Order: sequence, then structure tokens, then C-alpha cells
Amino acid sequence: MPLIEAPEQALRLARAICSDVSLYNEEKIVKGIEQDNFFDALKEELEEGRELYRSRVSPDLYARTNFYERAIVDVILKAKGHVKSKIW
Amino acid sequence: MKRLAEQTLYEILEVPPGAAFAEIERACERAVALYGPASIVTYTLMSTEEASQLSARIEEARRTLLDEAARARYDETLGLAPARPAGRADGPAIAEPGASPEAAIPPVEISPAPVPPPGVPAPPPAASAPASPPAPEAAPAGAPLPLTAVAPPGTSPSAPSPIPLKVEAGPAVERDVVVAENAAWTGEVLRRVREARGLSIQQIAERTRVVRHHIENIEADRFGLLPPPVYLRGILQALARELRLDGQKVARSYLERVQASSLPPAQPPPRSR
Repeated sequence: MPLIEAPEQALRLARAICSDVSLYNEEKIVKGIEQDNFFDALKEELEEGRELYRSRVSPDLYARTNFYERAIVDVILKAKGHVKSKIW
Repeated sequence: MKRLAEQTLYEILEVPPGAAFAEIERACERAVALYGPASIVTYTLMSTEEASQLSARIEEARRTLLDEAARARYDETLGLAPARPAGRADGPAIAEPGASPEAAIPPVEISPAPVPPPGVPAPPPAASAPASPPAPEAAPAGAPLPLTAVAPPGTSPSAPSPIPLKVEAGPAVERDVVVAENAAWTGEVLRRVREARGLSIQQIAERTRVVRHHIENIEADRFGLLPPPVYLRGILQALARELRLDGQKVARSYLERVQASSLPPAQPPPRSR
């Protein structure tokens, strides 16, 4: 499979991966936000997602962008803005 | 909607005509709780006369349907085949003559080498699993099913005590499942648990919304055909949740085996002169 060179496509992939992480780990995400340990609680899931993203995107594009991190915030965290937590 | 007097006793209790005795008993209790004289559910819905009529019919259903002879006579008046209840409250859940419930779900044997060495692909499941499972030893009716997962490397299979997983009373095919603590969750074990829960692949696919072939590949340990770990973890957790297992444990254990199978072959140690 050819590596992704287009930024829009890479961003779309990052968002799709994060969307799936969010879908499968709803409870864990909510708990992680509530207890302010989101990145620790989701460490494995987020790393696996990043690994998939990295494997599909060209190294150059991966190095100069932070699409995956943005997708974590935009897709996973922002969607849980209603969860009560001291992190907001 | 049929009037109360026109409804059959089965319709009153909202159970199918072939319902087991235990199911009828539960339905009676539910009906009494819902529609009994002290119930607030029916307080505004029906008159006192209607409520007492319903109570009388529930009582009639209890007397008739929980008495084998009376039920047979009643079924005859409805033109139904004589009921062969799947289970009584005081009897075994599966009442198939000549076949014990254990026959359907034989125990899994402990295998001491679950994880293939790095670089060596996992053997095809068809080769390791016999086409027809060995006949189980006779076990007392109602005893937990000794389902034992594969012990992970470095642990003694006999050391950990099995954990009986609580299975709620439900469909007749559901059984207690016992899985050894610290056991590795293989596809085979997951399949056994699913079968013990009385679920088909199709059913579990519908409930979890995980496509059928992923479930089949997981159960057959076809690691090369599985989705990337980020998706596989979620799928495993969804399956485990449906099977009432610890999702974290199942996913971690299974993913460890997937990872071990994809590692490059270990370099042989240099030979000392």
C-alpha cells in the first residue's frame, strides 16, 4: 500500500483512527477524563493508533505534522466536553 | 387486542406455549408483581373489577401451567402438542434424554505451549483442534464446566486456581464456565466460552456489530488476517463484554500472542568455542 503524502488524507486517517478508539473505549475515556488520567488510561490504545497512523503516512509528512495529536483532541476529547472534570 | 377472558393462559403470562416450568414460574411472579392488587402500575389503568379478573387468571395460569397433567390437558384444549418443557425449576436445565448438557461443551485441555516462538507462525487451528472434540467425562448435573484456558509461558498450569465465571440463569444452554486464573485467552478459549453462553457467531456479530469474519479469524487464531491492534483491541473488548469477561484482560492476553507471532525470528546465540 503506498504511503500517504497528502496532508488532507493523513488528517482524515488520523481522525478515523481516533474515532474508532473513541467508539471502542467510551467508558475508559470518560473515566480517564473524570479522573484526569486520560493519557495514562488510554496509553495502549493511543499508541496502537499512532502506530497504525505512522505506518500509513510518509515519514516526512509524519515528522512535520501533528495530525494524530490534533485528532486525539478534536475527535476524542472535544466530543467529551460534557464530562465533568477539573481538566476543563 | 384480545379481551382478558379470550386470552390463553400463555398470553396472560406472556410466555410461549413451549415455555419451561422455570420460565412460567418467573412469569407468574412477574405478573403478580405487575398486576397484583397492590400494584401501582395498574392503579390508573384498569378498574378494580378488571384487576381482580386479571389476578384470577394469573392464579389460574399458575395452577394449570405448573401442573404437568393439568398443563397437558390444557394444551390439548388449545390444540397444541403436549408440552415438552426444556427445564423445571427442580430439574436439570437440559432435559434431553440420554444426552447430558456437558456433552455439548467438552472441557478444554491445558496446553503448556500457547505462544509460538518469535518468527514461527501459529499452527493452523484445524491441525491442532480435533474435528470432533473428545467425549467428556461424566460430570454431575449442574456442576461447573471445567473450561481451562491455556497457561501462559512461565506459569505452572496447575498452580492457579480456576475462576468460576458467574453465569446468570438464562437460556437452557448457558452453563457455568471455569477459566484458570492467569490463563492465556486464545481464540479456542473464546470460542468455548461463546458456545457455553449459547451464542452463535452470527448472534455475537449482531450484538457487538463486529463483522463475522473478524470473529471467525479471532477464534481460529488467524493472526495474519486480523485487523491492526488498535482495532483488534476494541473488537476483543467488545466480544469479551458480550461474553461477560474482563475485556482488558482478554484483549491484553490475546494481543500479546498476536505480537509474539509477528516478531522476527530470534537470532540464534553465537556458538562459544
